[in-house]
Amino acid sequence: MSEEKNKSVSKMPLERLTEIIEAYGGHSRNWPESEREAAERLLEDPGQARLMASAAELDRELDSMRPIVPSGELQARILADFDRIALRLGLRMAGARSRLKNVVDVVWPGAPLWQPACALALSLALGIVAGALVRPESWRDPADSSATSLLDAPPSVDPGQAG
Amino acid sequence: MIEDPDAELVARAGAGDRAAAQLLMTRHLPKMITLARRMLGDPGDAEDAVQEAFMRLWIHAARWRPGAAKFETWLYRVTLNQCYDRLRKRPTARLEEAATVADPAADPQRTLVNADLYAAVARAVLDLPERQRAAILLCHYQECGNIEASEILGVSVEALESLLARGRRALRQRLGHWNER
Repeated sequence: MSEEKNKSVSKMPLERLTEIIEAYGGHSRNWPESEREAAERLLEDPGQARLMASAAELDRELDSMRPIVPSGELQARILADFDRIALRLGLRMAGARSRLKNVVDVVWPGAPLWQPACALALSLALGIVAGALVRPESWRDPADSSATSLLDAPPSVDPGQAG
Repeated sequence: MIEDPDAELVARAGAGDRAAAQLLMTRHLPKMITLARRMLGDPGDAEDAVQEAFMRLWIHAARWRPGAAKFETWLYRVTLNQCYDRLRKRPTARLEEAATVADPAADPQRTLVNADLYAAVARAVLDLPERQRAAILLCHYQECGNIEASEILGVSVEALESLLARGRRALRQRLGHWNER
């Protein structure tokens, strides 16, 4: 069901105008935008004059309450809250950066963060390249005959008994 | 996505821009405090509610993303929720006391009749059930359109009109004697 009663200018029933006035009052600026023009045309109906007069009277009474002017103290408190929250959020980020800097200063005193970061990245890259270039068979150390002897031994030999 | 005149200011406030935060406050605080004051009656409670609403804004500003709803709609809703929380926590008698608090914006030269009318209207509005009161305040005083007001209250437009009609009927009955003066 649509949220708005979208009726054409020429087809609004009087009952709908009554609903509008009873809900939104006598100021047409407060009426639903899509129905305002059609409703205003129906105001020419003499039967609506009494309803409009009653609505306008309540509107005048409600208008006796003027807007509140916010106090300077309230404005100051709201901005102080902003400053406090902004500072807290800023300190949280600065704290993490400072803790990382402390660790770096122990390993590489006095260096800006980018220097140890680059060194670490370079080491990692070299390690990856070295691993890619080494041939698989050289992983086995030819001098370690005891390890290979266990593997070459016949199944009857208990590995736990080998010297 | 709807066009939101506050989107840029909210983003800047979320990035720590104090000038943007102050502009947001200047733009919205008068409407928020008027709404809270009419909902709660008590000036201290109204200021607390609005201060808390802005606190929520400062905390969430960095995560605000323009979408289907305007920022102002969200801020109205947060303010109303703060008002509802305070209403549920207070004893009923305080509502009647709050209705007698003088209008701080009142003209010192205001006549006794007008001052009495102001107090009578304030009391009548505070006597309305919460949702009728909120509907009247949004549509009559805050000049929210029916669609925006229904979004703020989380109801259909038909339900909003029902709240408004019942609220206005109750106010006419309470204020009926003013017609005879």
